[in-house]
Amino acid sequence: MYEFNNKPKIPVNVKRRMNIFLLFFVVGFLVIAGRLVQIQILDSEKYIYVAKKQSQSRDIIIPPRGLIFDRNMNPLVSNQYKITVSADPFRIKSPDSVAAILSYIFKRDKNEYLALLDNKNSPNVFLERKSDLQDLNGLDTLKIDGLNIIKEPSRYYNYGSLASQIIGFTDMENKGVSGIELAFNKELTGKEGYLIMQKDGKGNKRPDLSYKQKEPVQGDNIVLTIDKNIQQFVEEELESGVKYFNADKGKVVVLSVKTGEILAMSSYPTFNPNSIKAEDTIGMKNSVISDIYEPGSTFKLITAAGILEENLLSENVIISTDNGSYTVYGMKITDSHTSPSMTFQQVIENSSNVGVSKLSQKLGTERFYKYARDFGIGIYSGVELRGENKGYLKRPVDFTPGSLEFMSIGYQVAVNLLQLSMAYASVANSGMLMKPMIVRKELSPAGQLVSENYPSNIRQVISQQTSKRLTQMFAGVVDRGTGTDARVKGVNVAGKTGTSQRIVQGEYSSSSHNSSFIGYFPVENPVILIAVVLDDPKSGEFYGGKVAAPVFQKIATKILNYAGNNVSTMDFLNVTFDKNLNQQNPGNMDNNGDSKIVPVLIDMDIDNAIDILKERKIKFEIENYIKKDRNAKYVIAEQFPKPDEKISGSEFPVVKLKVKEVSFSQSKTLKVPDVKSMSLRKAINKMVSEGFVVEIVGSGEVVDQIPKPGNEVLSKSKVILFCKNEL
Amino acid sequence: MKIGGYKIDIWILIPVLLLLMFSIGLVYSASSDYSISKFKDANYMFKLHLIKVLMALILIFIFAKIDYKYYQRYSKWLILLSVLFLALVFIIGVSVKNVNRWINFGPISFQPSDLAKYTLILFVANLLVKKKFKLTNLYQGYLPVIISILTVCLLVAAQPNFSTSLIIFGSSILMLMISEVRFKHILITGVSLLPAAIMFVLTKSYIRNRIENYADFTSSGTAQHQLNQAIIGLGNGGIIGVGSGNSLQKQFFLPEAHGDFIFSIIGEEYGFIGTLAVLFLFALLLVRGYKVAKSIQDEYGKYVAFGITTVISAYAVVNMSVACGIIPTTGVPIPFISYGGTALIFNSIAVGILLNISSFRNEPSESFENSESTGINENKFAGI
Repeated sequence: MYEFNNKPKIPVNVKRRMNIFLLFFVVGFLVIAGRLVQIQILDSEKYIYVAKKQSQSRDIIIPPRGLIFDRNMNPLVSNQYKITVSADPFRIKSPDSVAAILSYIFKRDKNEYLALLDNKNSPNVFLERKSDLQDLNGLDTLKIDGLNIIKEPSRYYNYGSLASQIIGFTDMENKGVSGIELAFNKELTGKEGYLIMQKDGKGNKRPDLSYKQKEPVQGDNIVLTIDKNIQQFVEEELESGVKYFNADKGKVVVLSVKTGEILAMSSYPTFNPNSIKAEDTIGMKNSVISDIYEPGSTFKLITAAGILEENLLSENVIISTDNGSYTVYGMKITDSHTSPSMTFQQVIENSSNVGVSKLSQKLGTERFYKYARDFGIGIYSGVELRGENKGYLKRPVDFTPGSLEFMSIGYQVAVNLLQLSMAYASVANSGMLMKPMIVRKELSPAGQLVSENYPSNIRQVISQQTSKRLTQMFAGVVDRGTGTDARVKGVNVAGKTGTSQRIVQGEYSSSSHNSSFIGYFPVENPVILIAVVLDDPKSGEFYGGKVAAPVFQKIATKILNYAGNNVSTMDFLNVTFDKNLNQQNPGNMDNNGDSKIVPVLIDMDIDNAIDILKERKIKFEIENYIKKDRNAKYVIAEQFPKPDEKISGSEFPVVKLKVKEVSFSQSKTLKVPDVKSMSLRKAINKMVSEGFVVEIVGSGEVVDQIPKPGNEVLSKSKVILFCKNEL
Repeated sequence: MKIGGYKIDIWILIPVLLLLMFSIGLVYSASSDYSISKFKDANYMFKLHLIKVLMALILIFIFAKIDYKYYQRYSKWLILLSVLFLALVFIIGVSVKNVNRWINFGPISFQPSDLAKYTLILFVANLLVKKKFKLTNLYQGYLPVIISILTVCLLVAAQPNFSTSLIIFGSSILMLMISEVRFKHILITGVSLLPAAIMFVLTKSYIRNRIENYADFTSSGTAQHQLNQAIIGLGNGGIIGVGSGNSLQKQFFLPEAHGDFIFSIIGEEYGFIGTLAVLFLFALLLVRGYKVAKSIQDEYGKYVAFGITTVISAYAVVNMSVACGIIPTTGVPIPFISYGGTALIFNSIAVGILLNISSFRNEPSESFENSESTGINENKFAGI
């Protein structure tokens, strides 16, 4: 239509062209409007979240970790802060002056800091990690852009290596790694609080009252059954014993026989949790519960107890000991002395292997196994510490010819020292096996009692009568037999020595031994038990009676002095447990037919609830339940008594139930699962598998979600996952 | 409405006044945190802005009274002055953010490109009118026009201010396209300039960075950060906004929220309703401005009205598109709303001129409007 010549005949249609340009602009406006609809209406929720998130900072408030006390309320640990200095090298304007300041405060070479600050690959470089320095010289008051000074709570162990294997230690994040710190980490940690601050784009924070704040809950204190002083005696004497007898390792446990409380427990070598070194890994292990060994003669307890309890033989019966050498199924059992015969009493006193193996034949496999089991061999002792090795007790079906005889003298069986000590303690405690206790009570930060452990009986292994006779036998061991070095001035001691050949390169070694002694006192009314094992003494002496018994004697003497020689009452133990509670028997609670526990019925389908109640023979009443609609679903809304209440049988009440109707649509709602801090892939899998549609913002770990976890939504609802790397 | 006997188009004045009013509230909110941190006075920038808005209002009314035909007479001198200023930037220019775009006259800092974009319109319009019958001729018509346009554009681009240069160039080309200039010439110019433009972009790292950032959405570069924050601000406002003064983004999340990205703060504080209102006001300005251009008999007035409307609309569209992340980040202010600067002053002068032209328009009759689409009266405007 337009023909462009040098002389235009037909004029330009200006208006039409302007309209075309106008149209272009209008299209531009419409595109903008469309984009605004997307950002401001469709995706708004996402951006509202991001805007809020970036303008808020959530400051975690870590509560002080609970303390650990000994039985006399001596604090064994304390809390302190360690200083961590980190920097964003990009934001440090003058690395030189920052390095100079740090060098002045931390007394390190300036160039080390400069090198770290030169690392531009990371937005967070640690310049100092967990420094012990307490005086910051005002560093934290200097506001240096890009420099972060964090006071991280950390533990200080007041007595260094004392009881370190029991207490354990915490990691960089102040979380328990071993010992009580690990076993009671949850109780000690408390609950983190947080403070939400308003933050601007430069990172300036200001508290805003309209924002939420949650106070931290301080961790509870743990009171141990350990007595710091006894623990100290044990560690001193164990160390000097190990060194004197040139042993590899050693371990000791001290028990209160009536209550099962562990008064002291240690193995050597040990470690100092305040300055952990690479070679400390052996020392960190609590050998008393974690290491198992073949007990040797101390295991003769089982046979002796069985014979007496079953009334098979009396102490005075003479047993042929074959001049100290006896062959069973081609395997030789030998004694250290060559008597042709001994009384049963003498067999124990002199620790005759021949005699005991013959006695075991009298007892028989089944009964031997039963007594070993009943004394707790091959079963977890139940101590509230991690890492217990329950040892190994062969079942009768697995016995091979000779097993009985060798097991009777403490071979082909593995125990941990605590197990065997508890078995001896049961003899001292009138035949009642106790559960070992390491924690007496849990106290709130304010000092109120949160929970208390009471001595708990496991089972009556032997009669009181038998226990007395056994104690007399063991008293003979110390008076006249192999354990004379364990005699303690001022108190009668009962005990048993043990010397077992260690397995070296797959064979029993005649030169490497475990030397042990387990003893308790006073014989008349036993209170304290001390068990000592030294591994591979190389000083020349290796008999338990010559190596372990002297260590026992030294510890016992110190304890007696500490107790003011008041052996008759031993009131320093401060045993204040309620005697009624003493009868509590948690081990058999499940079998207790006299009590029933009210089951949890809430939100359960009515028909299922009725089935459960009928099955348990619990009477029940349902209020106002008439099934009106066949398609409707009825669930339990309320129940009385409340779930998990324990009620004894005679007065077991009628369970009253209230029912609610769940409408059809309501029953199809789904609870949004919590996928926070999951990897994105995992979170998507979870969401999709539970019937949600997923929208993802960012990439990496999921940091938040909309709707929040726990919300009830219709199935196929959209869940937005916000990930670490936003946009 | 009559100003000094002239009957101006009130529908051009109203959106501008509304935008200026909006600007006062927005700059007050968006600049306060920045002002405190920089000048220790929350109202420091707001006060300066208020003075400029008052000046702007006065200038609109003054220029609405001045007969636009004067500019035709002096357009040659105006463009020479502008070119002089643009050149001066390289000699006595003040560097802001490593870019030389400003000249200081005592307390007033002045961006010559803001002046040049309008004087170029006045000048090109004059050339198009004067050379009307020679425009189809390459040497006598087209080349003088395109050379003058390119001279200004190159000077602006070298400030460096590539985006402004591009807007000025585009607007001038649109002016040529409603004249008798041959499409062929424009096309050849465009094709021959394209490699130069690409070369320019590649050599200027700041532009390249922004374009790369635009393509790479995960980048955390400054421009990308600014854009992300702008979008977050828009989204945070939702439909009705968080309310005046309640923007979170202005608290240093969105750098210089009072400037080129103020559109995001509109979206945050006033929501979709606010952004749509602004969009509508600019659309109204555009439609009415073009209507003036279409209805004016005088050729010079037609070109000037068209040029001014195009430039203002282009700025608005580019700015809003940037804030929404539709096009790569580029630093152009949104007319009448962004904080101060000489842009506000010159935009107001331009609107004053547009208003003055509007008072010369023929009030189109109904029959005239209808005949437009029939094509019967196409010759009616020819031959003047």
